[in-house]
Amino acid sequence: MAPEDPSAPAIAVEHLFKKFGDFTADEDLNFTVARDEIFGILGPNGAGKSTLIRMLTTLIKPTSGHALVMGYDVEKRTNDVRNSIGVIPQANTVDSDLTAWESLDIYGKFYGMSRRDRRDRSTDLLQSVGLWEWKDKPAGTYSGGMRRRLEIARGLIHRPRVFFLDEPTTGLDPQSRRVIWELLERLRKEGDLTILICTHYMDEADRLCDRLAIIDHGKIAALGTPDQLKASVPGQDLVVVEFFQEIGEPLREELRGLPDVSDATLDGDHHARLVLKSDVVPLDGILEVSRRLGNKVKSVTVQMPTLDDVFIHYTGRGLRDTVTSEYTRPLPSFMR
Amino acid sequence: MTRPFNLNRMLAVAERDLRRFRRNIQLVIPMVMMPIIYLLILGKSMGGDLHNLPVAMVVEDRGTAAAGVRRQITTLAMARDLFKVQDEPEAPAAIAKLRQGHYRAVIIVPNDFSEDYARGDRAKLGLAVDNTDATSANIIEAEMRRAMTSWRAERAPSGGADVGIDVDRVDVYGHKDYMQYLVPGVIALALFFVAMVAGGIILVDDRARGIHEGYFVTPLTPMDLVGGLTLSATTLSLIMGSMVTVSSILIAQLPIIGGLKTLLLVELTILLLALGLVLFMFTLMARVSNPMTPRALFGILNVITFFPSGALYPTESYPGWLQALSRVNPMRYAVHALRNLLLKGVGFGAVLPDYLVLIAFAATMLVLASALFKRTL
Repeated sequence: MAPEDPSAPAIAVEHLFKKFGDFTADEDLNFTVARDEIFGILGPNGAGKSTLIRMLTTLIKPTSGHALVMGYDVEKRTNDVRNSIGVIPQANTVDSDLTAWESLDIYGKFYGMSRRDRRDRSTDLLQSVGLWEWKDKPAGTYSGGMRRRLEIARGLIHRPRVFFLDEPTTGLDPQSRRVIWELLERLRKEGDLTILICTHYMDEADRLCDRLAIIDHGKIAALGTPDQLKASVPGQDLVVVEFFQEIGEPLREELRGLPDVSDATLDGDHHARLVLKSDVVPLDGILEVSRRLGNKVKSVTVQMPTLDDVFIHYTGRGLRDTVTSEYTRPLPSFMR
Repeated sequence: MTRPFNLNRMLAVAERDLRRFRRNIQLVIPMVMMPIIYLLILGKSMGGDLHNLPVAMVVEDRGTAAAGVRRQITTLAMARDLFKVQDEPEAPAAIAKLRQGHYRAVIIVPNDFSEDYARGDRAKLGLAVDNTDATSANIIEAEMRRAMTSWRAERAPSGGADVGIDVDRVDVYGHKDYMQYLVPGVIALALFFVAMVAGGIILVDDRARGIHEGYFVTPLTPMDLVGGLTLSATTLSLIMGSMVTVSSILIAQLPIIGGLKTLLLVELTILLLALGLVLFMFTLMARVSNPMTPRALFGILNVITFFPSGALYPTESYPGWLQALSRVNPMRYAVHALRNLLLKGVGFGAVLPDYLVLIAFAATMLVLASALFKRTL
């Protein structure tokens, strides 16, 4: 393997395009991912996330543009790229006929690891993903969450520098998702690993990612830290005030008149929704109005924008329904 | 309570299946093709007339009767294309060539033939046959007896004496039965099954299951992949082939004439055919992603490789198009080599031509499989 450029970012994407016939899956993508960062790619189904991951992991060639992983061009230096990366594809690629131990050992051989190194690394990984107890059982007997954790261990066997995860928790129960998140957070703490994660779960992106790119229709719609993205959504800070007695029009007018409030609407007989001009909640003003009009406040709820709001803001509400040219046949049950 | 039977529900189940077949017409085609291919290939590869069987003639006698017999046989060979007659000066050399597989039979006109015939004794014609192929041997014998009867009939009015010619058949390989004749074909069939499962079905299943996608993000090269897959399928073939060989030798009570050397050459033949068949499957399945495809093709591939291999009936009976199919079929050469090894106990030299064809086939398939095999998705 050629010596890597220590100043190169973990991932650099420049004017990257991928076309399938007339269909443009990814269009002029540009971004860099710094070393040891957890970078999230968010987007609706069919936005071009998997295509991007497949280009970065040398599974398909870009139509034009460049992508570098650890400074290596994904088209020209495929072998260096493959030695630098670990990949958890969207589809489950666990070999059901092999035990967890055998899977890790065989993958270790693909990377030319010594017997001793394979043994030590497999032991460490299987313990840290919580599969040590099941290491000698065929993966076909594992639950969905266990298979995902086995894939994560397998993807890390050769100590990759960049780890790609394509929707790692899709279809898993909340317990399994939490375990995988904790695992990824632990990996980040250990350092020396850049993680690129594709997801359409906002809670996952919010919890894990240092920075996010929202992709839609093959283009980057927004890019930044989760907080930056939330702040970029205009007029979304809401306060819902609940009163003991029915709210009349005068009360609503008074609330709307507060200096930090841009609008006030009624939500039922007892709730007023205030749209704020900034992130300062005008508690004093609300209490003052309540005292003056003799209607006591029962509760005040502040609603910050979530990544869901950010996501809908940048990608809209429309469904991304398309059909592929070739329909996929699910496998007979005995082959799954 | 749900009624046990409802026509609409039942029709809905049937409708779903029929719609599915209509959308997967490429899987229905092999079902229709299969019996037609069976009819064509089975019909033409079993029980057809034999052609151009190589037969040697050794005429030790210089008399007129011997010359007459010789003319009769030559005429027969010209009139019907059952034999292809070639003169050999000496009987032992001719029989040695028969043992090497050059001839199916040696006709010997002994040196006292004309004398016996003139004296009015029953003259004897020797017929040494390669009885490892009972079909050819029996047909040659029957044809010789018929020819000698008609020749005598022509001579009888002028000669006056009621003399006859006996055809003395000698089986060069002692007693052989049809079961023993089938053993080479059964071994080849076992190798076909392993190649079909390991090289075809498992390959496409693994591709559909994403196992290959997992491989492609590692530093594995196309050579690593094709080489590794070939190695595993060939190893499996060697084990299964050996098990079937031992079992069928015991069942057919086949004596191993050449001993250990024969068994080693049998293993080598199994290895070469296994390589060819496995790589042939890789070539066919190089771009296939639907797991049903290899299953649908299983039967057709079996018929077009096994029956035209000479495993059940001599290849000399095939019409031209089937001969052409048979000539590019590696199973034909393996069956030929295995039959020579197991039934005749020949040495390396006699099977070398078959080996060269098997090696050429495997090499061609290796090039094609490597070229067609995609490293990317």
